[in-house]
Amino acid sequence: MYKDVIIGSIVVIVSLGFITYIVFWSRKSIEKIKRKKLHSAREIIKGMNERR
Amino acid sequence: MREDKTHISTELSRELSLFDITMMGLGMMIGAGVFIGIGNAIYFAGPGGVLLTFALNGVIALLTALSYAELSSAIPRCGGAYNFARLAFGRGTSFTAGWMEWFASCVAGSLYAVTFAIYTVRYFEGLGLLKWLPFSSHNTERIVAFLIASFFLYINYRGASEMGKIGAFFTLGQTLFLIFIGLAGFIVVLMDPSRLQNLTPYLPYGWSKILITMGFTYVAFEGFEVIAQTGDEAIDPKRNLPKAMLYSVFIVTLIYVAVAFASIVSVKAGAPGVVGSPWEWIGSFKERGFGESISRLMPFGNFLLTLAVIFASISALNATIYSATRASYALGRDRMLPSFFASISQKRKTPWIALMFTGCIVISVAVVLPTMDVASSASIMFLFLFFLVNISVIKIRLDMGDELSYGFIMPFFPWLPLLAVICQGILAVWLLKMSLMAWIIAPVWIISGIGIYYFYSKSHTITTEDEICVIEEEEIAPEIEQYSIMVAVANPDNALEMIHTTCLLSEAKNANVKLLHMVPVPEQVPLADAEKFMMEGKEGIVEAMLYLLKFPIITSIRYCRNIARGIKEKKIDMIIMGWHGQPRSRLFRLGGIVDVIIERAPCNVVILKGIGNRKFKRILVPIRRGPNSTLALEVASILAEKHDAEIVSFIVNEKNRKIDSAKVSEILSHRPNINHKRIKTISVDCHNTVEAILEEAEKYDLLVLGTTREPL
Repeated sequence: MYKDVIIGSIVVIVSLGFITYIVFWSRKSIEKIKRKKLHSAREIIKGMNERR
Repeated sequence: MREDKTHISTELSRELSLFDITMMGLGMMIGAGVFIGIGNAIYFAGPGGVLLTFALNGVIALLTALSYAELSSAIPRCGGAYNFARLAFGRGTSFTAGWMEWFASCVAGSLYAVTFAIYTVRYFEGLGLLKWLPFSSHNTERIVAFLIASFFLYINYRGASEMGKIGAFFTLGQTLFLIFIGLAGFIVVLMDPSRLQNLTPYLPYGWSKILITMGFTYVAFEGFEVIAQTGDEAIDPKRNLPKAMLYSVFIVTLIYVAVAFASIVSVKAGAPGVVGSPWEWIGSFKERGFGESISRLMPFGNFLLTLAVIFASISALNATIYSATRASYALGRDRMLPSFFASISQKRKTPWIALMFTGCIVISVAVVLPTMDVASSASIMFLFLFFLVNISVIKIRLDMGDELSYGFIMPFFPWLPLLAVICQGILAVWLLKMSLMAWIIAPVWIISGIGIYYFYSKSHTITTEDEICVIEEEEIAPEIEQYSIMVAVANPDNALEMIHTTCLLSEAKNANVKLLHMVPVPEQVPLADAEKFMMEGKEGIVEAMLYLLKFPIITSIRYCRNIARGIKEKKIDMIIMGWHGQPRSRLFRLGGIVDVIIERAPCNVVILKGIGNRKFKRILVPIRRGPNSTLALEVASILAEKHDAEIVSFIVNEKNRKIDSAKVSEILSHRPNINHKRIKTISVDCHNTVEAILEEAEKYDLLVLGTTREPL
């Protein structure tokens, strides 16, 4: 029973953490795409991989 | 921006901010799923199951939100899944997407009507006010659902957009209320940690039950479609659409988990009336379980919750009705359904046939199907629709990734959309255990749609402008800094005179002119179709537009729902409007639209009344303190030059409120476009300014009045 509680709580926390991370990563990425004036998918992937 | 045959550019006004579209998404999500879903999820999966249900559903919804975000940033046009499927797979799949979207929105609307009914009836039954009714609770709920759905169908038919305007505030209110409930749950646990025992056994029926509860509560996460639909009207859509989709999923997931937690810990074990363990007691109420638990969490909990549910369900019901109507209207417009689906009521200017068919589906599903079948049917249709969108995002990136201009692309492509497809497939299959009816209704609807496509749509469909424009999306060149005058034309009878006066002002001020064509475009119709409303019986306005072409000035026609925002967006310096002379309601000083413009427009406002096509020989300009007097004199001077008229600046001195005419002349000398040779000044002492002006005005052809700081 306690195994379910522990695993369940970890799943809930990891899920919420994953959502939070992706949302904030996406926000940053949207701003970066705008700032660097990237357009096509290829340009964006290349631009995102550059450090600055 | 696009050019039409008369070489006047037309643009759609982008009025919806990031806040507006995020609230629209939240409004669709927090409609019913959470209120009905929590009690049922506790009943089927136990106290831990409900937390896992909402957390994991949030993850799956996020995967689909990423697909929607990528597609909407690349194709920011109204149409949502319908457009994405058309670009990815062609018209057949696009029709299926539109067909599913129509039904999914209708069924979601039914669910909101039922939720409204359940919570309203529960509240009034609690007060003992429904004892006299000869119906059972279930039948009363169905009658209320029928009535509320009919009411909102009528509101949509009337074309009232007030609900849309205040919808964002409703959504904000209900979101804050749910956050408050979530916080109250944590506070209760801090004060009484023994309530954490309510979470055991965590999963009394095992992990597999979570898949069922995730399936029927998935409808609580469908809000991206309505955000995608705003592609033509959102400000900076490449950036704001993806953000709004992701923010709305983030906010609702946190809120749902917090609220589900609060619901479980709100009931104390062994409290009066609580039979068995708290989670069993809450679950025994099924769809009413959330209400029963929250009513024990805080004082007036029952009342506040009922109020929140009423607000949530009516705003979501209204939103789904116009969303569903838009979907069927678009199918009719593109001739994928018979063209009468796109016909507009002459009287109300709303797509009444699309609305009527939408209403039939909403009401019959709400009245006939049991609540859980309604929720499951809505969920399964959205699962199928999102399945299609996740496939489309892969196909479009692979085929057109180098041609489209993206504002956002998802990470881990194509694994995340593939994962979403697999998860949604599993949820859809598991829903079979929850509702066989949903699994009969959904395939029957889809198969009938495929039949309609092959036997009707395929031979009737037309190529629409949207289809061509998708890849030709251009960046609009920055506008040159120049004095800008917008003329708002609504009445064909005075359009020509207004344009004529505007041209005089624009020549004098070396301004460009923007023609704002004021036609009410109902919410159910995309702004892209506004042209259809303009041409009907508006020949006077068309003539006025052609008249504009004779002048070497920049002209454009703007379609917008909110004039004040349109003015802000285009940095207009002066707006010119006509006024018929009488407010239609005592609630307004001049009129519903004119009052709002005067209050909110961040520019000069010129109101013309009965200018006609007359010659002015004498123009009266009453002068008081404040900048508007000089503006009035400037406008009068420009008109006087054209008509070779004489201007009289009329200074009215009331008792104890003397105006220094020398000072007025000095202030006026700094203003361009004022020809002092034409101006004669008269100063009068009187008791009543209004009467003095009216008496003097009888001798003149035109009165130009600047509003004053103090009332006249």
